[in-house]
Amino acid sequence: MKLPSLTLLPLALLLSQPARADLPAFLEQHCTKCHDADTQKGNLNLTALKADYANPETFARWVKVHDRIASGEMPPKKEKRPEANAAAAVTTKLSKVLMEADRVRLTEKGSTGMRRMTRVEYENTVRDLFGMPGLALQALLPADGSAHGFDKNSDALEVSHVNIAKYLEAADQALDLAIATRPKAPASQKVRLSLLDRGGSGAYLSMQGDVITLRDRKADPLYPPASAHRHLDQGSHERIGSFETDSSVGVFRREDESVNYYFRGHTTIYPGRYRVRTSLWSYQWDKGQVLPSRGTEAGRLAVVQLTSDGRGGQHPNYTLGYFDAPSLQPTEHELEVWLNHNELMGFDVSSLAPVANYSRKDRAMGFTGPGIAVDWMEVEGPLHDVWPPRAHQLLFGALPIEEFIPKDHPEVRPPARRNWEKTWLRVSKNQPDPVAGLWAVRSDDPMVDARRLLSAFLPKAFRQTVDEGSINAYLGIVAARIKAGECFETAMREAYRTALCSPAFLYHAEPELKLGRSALACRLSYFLWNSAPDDELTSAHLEDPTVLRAQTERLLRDARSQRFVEDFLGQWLKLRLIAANDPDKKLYPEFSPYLQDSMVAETHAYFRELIEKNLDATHLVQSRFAMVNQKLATHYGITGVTGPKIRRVDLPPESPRGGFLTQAAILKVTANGTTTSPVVRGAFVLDRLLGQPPEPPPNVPAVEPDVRGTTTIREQLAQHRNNATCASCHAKIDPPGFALESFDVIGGQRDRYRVVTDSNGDPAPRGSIDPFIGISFKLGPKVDPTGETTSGQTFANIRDMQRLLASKPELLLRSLAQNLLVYSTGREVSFADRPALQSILEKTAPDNGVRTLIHEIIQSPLFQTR
Amino acid sequence: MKPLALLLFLSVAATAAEQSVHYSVRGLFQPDRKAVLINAAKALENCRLVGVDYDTARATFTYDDEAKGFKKAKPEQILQQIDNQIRKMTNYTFTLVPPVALPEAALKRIDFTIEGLDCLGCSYGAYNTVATLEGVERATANFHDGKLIILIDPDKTSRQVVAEVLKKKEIKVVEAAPK
Repeated sequence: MKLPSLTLLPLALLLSQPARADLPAFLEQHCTKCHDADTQKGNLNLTALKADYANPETFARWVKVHDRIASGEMPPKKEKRPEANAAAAVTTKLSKVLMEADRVRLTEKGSTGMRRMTRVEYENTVRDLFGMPGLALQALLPADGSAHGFDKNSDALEVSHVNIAKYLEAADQALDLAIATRPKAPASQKVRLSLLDRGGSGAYLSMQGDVITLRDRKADPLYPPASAHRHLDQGSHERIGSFETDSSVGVFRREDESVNYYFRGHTTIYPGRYRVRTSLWSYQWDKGQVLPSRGTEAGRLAVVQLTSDGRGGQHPNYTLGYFDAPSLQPTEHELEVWLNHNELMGFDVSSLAPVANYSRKDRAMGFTGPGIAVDWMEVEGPLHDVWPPRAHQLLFGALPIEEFIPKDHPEVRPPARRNWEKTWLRVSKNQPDPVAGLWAVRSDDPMVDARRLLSAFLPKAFRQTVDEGSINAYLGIVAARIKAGECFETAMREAYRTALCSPAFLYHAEPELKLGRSALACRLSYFLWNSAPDDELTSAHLEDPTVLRAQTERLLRDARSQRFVEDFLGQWLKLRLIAANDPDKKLYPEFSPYLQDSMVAETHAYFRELIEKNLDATHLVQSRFAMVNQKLATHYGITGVTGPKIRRVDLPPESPRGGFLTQAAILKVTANGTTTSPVVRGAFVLDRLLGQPPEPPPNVPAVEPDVRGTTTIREQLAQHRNNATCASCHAKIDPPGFALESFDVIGGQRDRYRVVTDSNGDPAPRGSIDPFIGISFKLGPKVDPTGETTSGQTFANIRDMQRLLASKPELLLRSLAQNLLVYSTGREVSFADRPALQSILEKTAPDNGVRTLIHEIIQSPLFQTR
Repeated sequence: MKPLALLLFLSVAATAAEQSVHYSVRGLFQPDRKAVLINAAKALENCRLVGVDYDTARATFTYDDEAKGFKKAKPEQILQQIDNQIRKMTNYTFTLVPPVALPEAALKRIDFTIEGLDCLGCSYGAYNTVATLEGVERATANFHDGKLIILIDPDKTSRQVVAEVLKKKEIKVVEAAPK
C-alpha cells in the first residue's frame, strides 16, 4: 500500500474501499451519533477525519479511535454494544492500515532522529573521558527540552548558537583542568577545620547561643555558652583566639534562610580529588548539661560553590550525604570527593527541629533540647596518584612538560594559563603552592606527535572509529595554529576544543538502521550509565545475545548505573520537580530539606531494589516493604528505624506504603505545596504508571482548591463533573486521585485535611511531629478516599485502590516498558512498534521482573534499531 | 620639637650599643595577659622585652641601634619597629603607644561591673570598647570578677561619657545599689 493513496481522502471515500467496507458502517452505527459535525463530542468529528496518515496529528487521532474501540471503552457503556467480532474486525483492519502507514513513515525517516547528548550525558561523558568525577559542567549548559516525558528524545534536543557558545565554554573549562601546567603536582595539604573558623556563621552563632563549644563532652569553660547576655564583640573574640581552641562545636540551630554552616578553613584552590573526614556525635543539652541524646541524629555534608564575592548560595550546591551522629559516641566519617575551584564544605544539623536560641531568655543556658557536635573536619588534597594526571596523559601522552622561556622562542606565543591562585577566595587555612615559571608540553616533532595523539584521542572521544580524513582535518587545525605562532600545547588544545564541540562528540552516532556494534555499545551505555561506553563494552561482541546480556549485567552492577536510576526516575516519576515548591510552613511545619532528600533517596533505592531483586511490576503500586531511613520511617509512622541510612524495612500488614504510588516523593511532586488535587494525582497515575495519559483538558476553568477548608476538593469536583464535557475524562482520572487524598502534600497520611483558619477546625494532635516544632494548623473536613472506577469497581481506601491497580500487572509492565523504551531509544513508541513491544512483554512474562524487562528491552529489535 | 617626639626622645635611654625604651602597652587588660606578652616577645628580632609592669601597663624594651630597622632610626620609627612586631606576634591584641604623660596621681579611676563578662573574649571586647576613647589612659577588664576599671584624664572625659559609650555598644553595666 502506498502512502499517497491514503492521504487527504475524506473518510467517506476511504471507507468506500472494499477492504474497509465494514468500518464506515461500524462508525455510522456506533460512533458518529456523538462524533459528527454537529456534536463533535470530545472535539472529534469522525465524518471529517481524513486518512492523511502522514499528518502526525491525524494519525494520532486514528490511533486513538482504534484504541478506544479495541479497549471497549467506545462506544460508551450506555450506548448499544457492537457485536464483539464486528469490533474486532474493525480494529484489525484499522490496525493494519495504521501499521502499514507507520512503517512507511519509519522507513522514510527512521525511528530515532539525530540527537545530541543531553547536558547530563555531556557532563558524564566528559567526566568519564578525562577521569575527573565531579567536574561541574552541567550548570554551564542551557536546560534541555523534553518530549514524550523525557529529555533524551530527539524531538527535544535542538542545537542553537547559545548551545554552541556554551559548549565552547564547557570545553575550555574541562581542558583547563585536564592539562597539567606544572612539572609536579600541587602539594597535598591536610588541614583541620572547625565550624568556628573565620568567615563562617558558626562563630557569629556561638556569640548568641545557637552554637556552643564543648570540651570533654562538657560546656567549654574557656568559652562558655551564651546565657542571659550574648558574648561581646565577635572581632575581639576572634583576635583573642576564642574560636581556635580545638573544642568540639555543638550546634542547635538548623540551616535556614539566614544561617548556613560552612567550613571556611578550606577553600579549594586546585580542583581535584580530596579526602574529607569528620567526627560527629549527638547529645541532649539541658541548660548547660550534656546528656545522652534521644538517638542517632543526622548531620549533612555538602559542597558549596562560592560566588566571586565569597558569599556562596543559600543552599548547598550538592549534598554529599547524611551521616550518623550517635549519642555521645564521636563517630568518624570519611569520603573522597571531587572539589572544584573555590568550593568548600558545608554542614547542617539536618535531623534537628528549627530552633533558635538567640531570642530565648538565657539563650543556650536556658535551652533544653538536642544538639549535634562536630569535633573536627579534615580536608586533605589534592590527591594525585600519578603526575601528570590521567586526563593530561590522554591528551599529551608521555610528552615532557618543560619550562617555557619566551626569549628562547621569540616566534612562539606563550600558552595562556588559568591562574588558580589569583582567582582563589582567600579565607582559608590551606595555602597555594604556585610554581615558578611558565611550563608547557614540549614536542620535538609536533605534527608526528599530533597525529599520534589525535589518532588515540578522537576515537575515544567520538565513541567510534575515526577515518583518516577526520584525523587530517584536526591535524589541519594544529598545523594552522602552529603556523599562526602558537606553541604545540596551545595548538593541540585548539584541536581538542574543536573536537569537544564537534557533532561527532555531541551527537549520538547511529548511522545504520540496524545498529552496529559501536552504536549499540553507545546506546547501551547511555541507557544504563548516561555516559560513553568503556573499553570493555566497546570491544565486546554485542551482536551475541549472551554477550549483550552479560554486559548489561555488568553495567547494572557498576556504580555508574545509579546515574540511570536517578535520571530515569527524575523524568519518569518527575522527581526533578521535587523542589519545585516549598510546602506551606503553617500547614506543614514538619517539612525539612532532610525529609525531602530522604523522599528522593527512598524512590531511588526502591527502584534499585526492584532491579536488584527482579521484582514484578505490581511493585510499582504496592509492596510489603519500604526503603526508609529514620526520618521517613517517622513520617510514615514506622517504628524501629534509626539513623539517616536508607534500608529495606518490612511493612506492617495494613500499611499502604512501599510502592511508588504512596511514596512521599511522588505525593509531593503531584501536589502544589499547599493543597492536593485528585485530578493532578489521578492524571499522574494514568500517565506515568498506567501509560494512559488523559486527554488535554478542554477550555474549562480549573478547579481552585478552597484553602479556607470550608469545602473539600471532592465537593468541588462533583460540581465540575456535572459538566458533560468534563465528566467522561474525570471518571477515569479522579478515582486514583480520590484514593490518594489520604496523603497530604508532603506524603503524610491523613484522614482530615489540615486548615489554617481561626474559626473552623479542631485542634491537631502532634502525632510524630518533633516536639520542638510549633503547630498552628487545625484539622478541617474529613478526607473521603472512596470511589468507583469506570468499570464499576468500588474502593474504600488507598489499599483497595492499590489492589485494583496491582490486578493489572500487564498494564503496569507495559507502561514501564514504554517509558524505558522512550528513555533508552530517544523516541516515542509508535503504533508500528506495538508488536515488538508485545513481544518484549511476552518474553518478560515468566517473572514480570523489572530486571528481566530491562534485559528484554535491550535484546529487542526496538532497542537495536535506530 | 613636637610634644610626641619630645616624649619619645626622652623615653629612649642613651646607652652605647643596646638602647632601652619605655612604652605604654594596650592589651594588658587582665593579669594573665602579661605572660602572653612576655611569651610572644621571645620572637622579637633585634630588640627584646626586658620588663612589663601590669599595674602601670608599661613595658621596657631594648634594641640594637646598629641593627636593621633601628640604625639611625628616629624615636617614632623605633616605636613603629617594635610595635609592628608585637602586633603581628599577638594577632594584633597588643599594641605599643607612647608612655602616658600624665602623672599617676592626676588620673581618676572609675569602676564598672559588667553583666555577662564571662570569658576572655568578652573581657577583651569590653576593654577594646573603652581603651582607645579620648581621655582613657589605661583600663583593665577581667571576666573573673566582671570588673571594668578605667583610669581617665578627668579633664578630657568622665564616667558619664564612658557609660554612654558602653550603653551604645549594648554592654550592660550593673548599677550600684543606692546607699
